[in-house]
Order: sequence, then structure tokens, then C-alpha cells
Amino acid sequence: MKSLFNKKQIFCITFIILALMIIGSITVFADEPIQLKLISWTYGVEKVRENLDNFEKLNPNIKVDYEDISWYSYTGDMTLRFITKTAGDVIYVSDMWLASWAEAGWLVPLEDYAPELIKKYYPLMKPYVAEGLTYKGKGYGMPYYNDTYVFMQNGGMLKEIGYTAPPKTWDDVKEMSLALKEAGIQKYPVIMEFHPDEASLTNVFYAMVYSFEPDSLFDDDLNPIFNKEGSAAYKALDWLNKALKEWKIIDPASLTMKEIDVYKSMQSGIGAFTIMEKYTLAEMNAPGSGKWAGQFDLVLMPGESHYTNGSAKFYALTADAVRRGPEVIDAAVKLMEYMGGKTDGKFGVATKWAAENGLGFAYPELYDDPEVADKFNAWGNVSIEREQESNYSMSMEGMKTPWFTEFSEVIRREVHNVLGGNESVMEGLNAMADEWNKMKSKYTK
Amino acid sequence: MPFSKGLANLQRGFIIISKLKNHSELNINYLKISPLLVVVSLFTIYPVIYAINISLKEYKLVLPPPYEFIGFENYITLFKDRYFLQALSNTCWFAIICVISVVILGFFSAQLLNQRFKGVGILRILIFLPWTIPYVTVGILWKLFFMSGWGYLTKILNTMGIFDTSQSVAWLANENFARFAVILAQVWHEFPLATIFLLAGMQTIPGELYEAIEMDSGKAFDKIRYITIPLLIPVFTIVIILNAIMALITFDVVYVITGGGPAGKTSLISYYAYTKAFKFLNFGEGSAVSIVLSIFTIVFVLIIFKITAQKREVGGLS
Repeated sequence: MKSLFNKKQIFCITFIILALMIIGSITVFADEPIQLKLISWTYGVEKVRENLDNFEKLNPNIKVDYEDISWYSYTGDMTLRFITKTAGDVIYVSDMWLASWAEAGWLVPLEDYAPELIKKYYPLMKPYVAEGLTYKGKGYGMPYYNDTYVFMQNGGMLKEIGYTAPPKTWDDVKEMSLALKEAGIQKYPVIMEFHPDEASLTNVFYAMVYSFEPDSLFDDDLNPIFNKEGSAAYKALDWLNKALKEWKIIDPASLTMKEIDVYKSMQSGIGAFTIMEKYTLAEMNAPGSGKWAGQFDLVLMPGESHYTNGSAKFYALTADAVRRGPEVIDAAVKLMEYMGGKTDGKFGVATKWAAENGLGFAYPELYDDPEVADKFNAWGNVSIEREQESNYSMSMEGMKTPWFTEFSEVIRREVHNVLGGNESVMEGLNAMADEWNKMKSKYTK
Repeated sequence: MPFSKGLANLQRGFIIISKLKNHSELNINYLKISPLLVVVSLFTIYPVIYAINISLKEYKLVLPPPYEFIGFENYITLFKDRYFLQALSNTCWFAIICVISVVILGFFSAQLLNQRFKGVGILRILIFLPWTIPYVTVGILWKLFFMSGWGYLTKILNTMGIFDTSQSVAWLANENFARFAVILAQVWHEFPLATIFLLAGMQTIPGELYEAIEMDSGKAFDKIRYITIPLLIPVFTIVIILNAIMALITFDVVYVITGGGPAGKTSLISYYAYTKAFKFLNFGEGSAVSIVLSIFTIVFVLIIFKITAQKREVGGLS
């Protein structure tokens, strides 16, 4: 039977069909959005999703899948994900974990893939933030939120016993606490987030140490210099020890309290003084949050130096993202700049977090934004905050070592040992120094 | 002679065929259980061997691979680590007290449920209920009970007017009370299972033995001493071993209720292993802790078996 087409025609038709298929598939694949995964700890998940939706509208070829994990199991969960290479593309990281996660090869320096972001944004940041995001001279991420550990008081309660000026020293805090006790207003005026599993215990300890003297824990070679009488660390731990056992102004329940327990207690009228991340003041002063809403004050850190420590939380690029190729890296960098930098000339996301949730930010220029300043002044005090952040904040010494997470656990354990009466203040500090030296020799041999 | 030689060959042939047949039957049986063997090997034997392997290496995730073989250095480091020794000591005490409490409570509950009275069915449900609750939920419930300030215990004592609890009572900040709290949570969750085992054992004891005692001394205590306990020795053995293993590997209740504090007083080996591996990223030492715990558990089980061997024979189980 004679064919309808000759060989030449069949060849041309086949070629055309194949060409159309190839062009069609390229077009289809070209239209496929790039899928990114963002993993964070659980906070403001609806707001995060909202931010991501806005990002997707501006970048229709990028889709972001979002997952949140509890803060208290974040490091354990992420470790498993890193090992199984399912850690997502962009994740939240705390400056406390940067060194160990970078050394493990799980995070990559943003500077290697987007040096222009580092050049553009790092000089604009508060010094402790830029320092927190840098490891071995390279910038690792874009800021999410950044806060200092601040001293807060229930100003309303103190006015009732005639105190209108804030405490300037830890002796003032002791005097005011004893006055509250005597007046029968508070059984234990000072409460702290000292749960053994609460990472912030380390930050609070550093804040108190720095309030006596900043940069006083290690020498230039990272050898401990804090384990001697009269050191800032000794004074801080000694104050806490006496406050708990002798003067009985610290609530013993502090040893079981996490951040949420402390500010819920303060809201319900239990406790008058604490040290926490500044953003919690927004929660405590939120209208309708409790009898004392609106009466909690931000106070410059009591102590000889007024220094405190600042904490940087940021968006980081994972090794998993890099493995997925340049398109994914590009998309991830865009996401990181959107979330931590400027869009259309404005720090949109950072301003939103600050104005709506009271989260601290990396860029001092946001204090000049009336939207931010007004909101902050509604529950806090912008001028005190600015003074604390600009003049009296530093990041934690020793944090940029791979063993810092381990040392943080030692600090928590030894603070508990001292406050629990198992060790003296000097024994506790010596134990911290011993453990640091062991870790240092283990990791640097 | 040819016939006898032929017969001998035939006999030899039958023996070979029957051996081959048994051999092939054996092969078929192994083939039948091979999927199970593969699963068990993959999820039990292989992880154990892998854990032993990495416990002998400097397996720190912050260091680049390959991970150096260091022999028993991780184990030596552990036994010089005061936090590990504290966790080991805590775990031993925790296991001993939990096992004793569970056995005693389980025995008396089983005795109670072995009676006939109105409401025994409802009581049975109430006693068995804690065992059905997941461990994490158990931890949360007891944490709420002991929470300072607005915990249930504080509220109950305040309502009863026992003392002024207008402000928080830091139950879990006290080291001894924190230990009591985690033990209580563990025992509360585990004693129902012990009750089930012991009740089942009691119900197999022939009634005639009790009748004999009844005719002899008639004392209830003698029934328990001379009949119930000796005949339940095999069941006690199982209950002790199971509860010891559960106590030694407990993680959830500690993690939820106390986080290992205060001052590490409720830190158990399992929690310590988790901390070493997932917080400090030191899988070498974390695996070493797990291996030590496993050896500990095996030794403990063997000791229990040895102690109860003779008594189990008396109880009818060898």
C-alpha cells in the first residue's frame, strides 16, 4: 500500500513535532516557579506567612513553602534536618549557634553568594548586630530581629511606695525590692527566666556581668579571666545568690521559669523587676493584657557600666540551598533581602515587625521612622532604648566558638548549682572556667 | 556381595536424600522469616553497630570528616565528666525507686482488683487510665500540677487553708521535690501495666491453695506470704525488668517537667545523651552515653534473672 507521505516528508513532520515538544516543555518548565523552603521557630506565624505572600506577589516566579518549629526543640530538630539534608533553603538562626552550624558546614556565608548585600546593609546595622551575623570575617545572613536584654520594672507598683526614679545600681534594686517586701506588695520582687532549658539564662547572666563591667569574661586569646573574686562575673553571681538566699528578693520559682512564665507572672502582678529581651515589654504593656498593662517601664541597665548584651537573630542560607543550584540561591537571596533589607527603599518587613510586635531591629535609622517611634513609645521608651542599644550594648564574648552552645549549658548548670546551694560562687565560676578550658583544648587540638 | 553392596548404597542414598530434604526445608524456613530478619537487622542490629562504631570516633559535627578513630577515648572522657556521673547516679536512683514503687503499687492494685465488689469495673478503668496517656502528656499534666503560682497543687493547698499561697510556691525549684515529681509522674504512668501483669498472674493461682491456708492459719497475710508472692515470682521478674528498662530510658517526663534541673538534679542518662548529640553536636560522646546505658541495662537484667532464677523455679517457671 502506498504511504501518504514520502520519507522526506515523514522526516520533516517528525522534526517539527519534536521541536514543538521541546519548545513546549521549555516554556512549561520556564513557567514553573522556583520552590523555596523557609524554616523558622514558632513566632508570629501568620505574620510570617503574610510577609511571604507579599514577597510572592512581587516575585511571581518564586513560591515559598513555610514551616515553623517550637523554639525549645529548634536546635535538636534542625540538627536532624541538617544531617538528613532536609533543612530547607533559608532558616532562622541565632547568633549563639552561628559558629557551630557554620563549622559543621550547614550554613554558608551569604557574603560568598551575595557580597553586594553585605556591602549595602552591614554598615547600616547596629555594631552588635553586624558582629552577631559575622563569623571568621564573613557575613552569614540578613537580620530578622535583634534585641538587647533590658531591665524592666513595674513602675506602677513602685509609685505606690514612693519610688519614681529608676534604680541606677544593683544596690538600688535591692533597696527598692526590700521596700516592696516591707510594704507587703511583693513577696519576691525580682523574677528571672532561669529555667535550666531556657537559653536566655545565659543572656541574662551575661547582661548582669556586663552591667558591672563589659568585655570582662575572656582575654584576647579567649582564656577565662572571670573566675576571681571581685570580677564582674563574681559580683553578678554573688548578687543573684544573696538576692535569692539572704535578702529573699528573688522568687525561687525563677529556677523553673521560661520567658513566657516571667512576663505572664509580671502581667498578673507577681514580680516587679526582671531582665528580658526588650520586645517582651510590648507584650506586657499591651492594652488589656493585665491589671498593670501600660505601667511597665524600660530602664537603663542598673550597674556601674549600664552595659548589657545584644542578641542577633537572622535569616541564613543553608548548604542545602546551595546544593540545589544557582537559581535557588538567587531566589533565596531575594527572599533574604526582602525579609531583612529594603524593598522600594524601605525596611518594610523590619518596620512591620517593630510597629506591630515591638521586635527590635538591626538598623538604627528606624528609630527616626515616626510609625516605629510612636509605637515603641506607646509601650516602651525610644530614647532609653536608643541609649542602651547605641552606647551600652555588646554581643556575648566567646560566642564565636564552636563550643559556645556547650558552654552556654555549663553556665546554666553552674548558675543553678550556685543558686541551689550546691556550690559557692567561686566554685561555680571555677567550674565554668574549667569546662571552658576543657572544651577549648578539645576543639582546638 | 553385590546385593548387600547395592542395599548399602541405597541406604546411603536415602540418608543423603533425607539430609538434603531437611536442609532444603531448613532453607525454606529461613526464606520465610528472611523479610522479618531484614527488618530487624535494619532497624535494630545495624543502628546498634553503627552507634558502637561512631562512639569509637571523634564524631563532632563541627569538625570536618573523616572522623578520626580514637578508641575508647569518648568513654574515658565520659567517666571523667562530672555532669555524666551526676546523670548516671540520678538514673540509678530513679530506676531503683521507680521499680520498687511500681511493684508495690502494682501488687496492691492487683490485689484490690482481684476482689469482687460493686464498682470494681469502674475502678479497673480508673487504675488502667494513666497507662493509656502518652508520656509527653503525662509530663505536661504533672508539670501543671506542680507549677508554681497557679499550679493545681498550690490551688488545692490554698483552698484547704494549709498555708498561704497568695504568691508562688516553687515546688520544682526544690531539688528533692523536683526528683519526687519526675518519679511520681513515671510511677503513675507505669504502675497500671504492672497491675495488669500481676492481676493476670493472680487469677491463675488455684483457689485450692488458698483454701488450704484458710484451713491452716486462716490469716490473710499468710496467704500473700506463702501462696501469692512465691507463685508470682516469674511475673514479678517480668514486671521488674520491664519497669527497670522503662525507667532507665525515660526521657519525656524529665524533658517536659524539669528540663533536667534544677542544677542537673533530675538529669538522666537519656536526656544527657540527647544533649550531647543534638545540642552539642557531639555524636561520638552521645553514642558512647547510649552504649553505656545499654550495657548498664543488660547487666541489670542479667542480675535480676540470676537473683530470681531459683525463686522462679519454685514458682513453676524455669
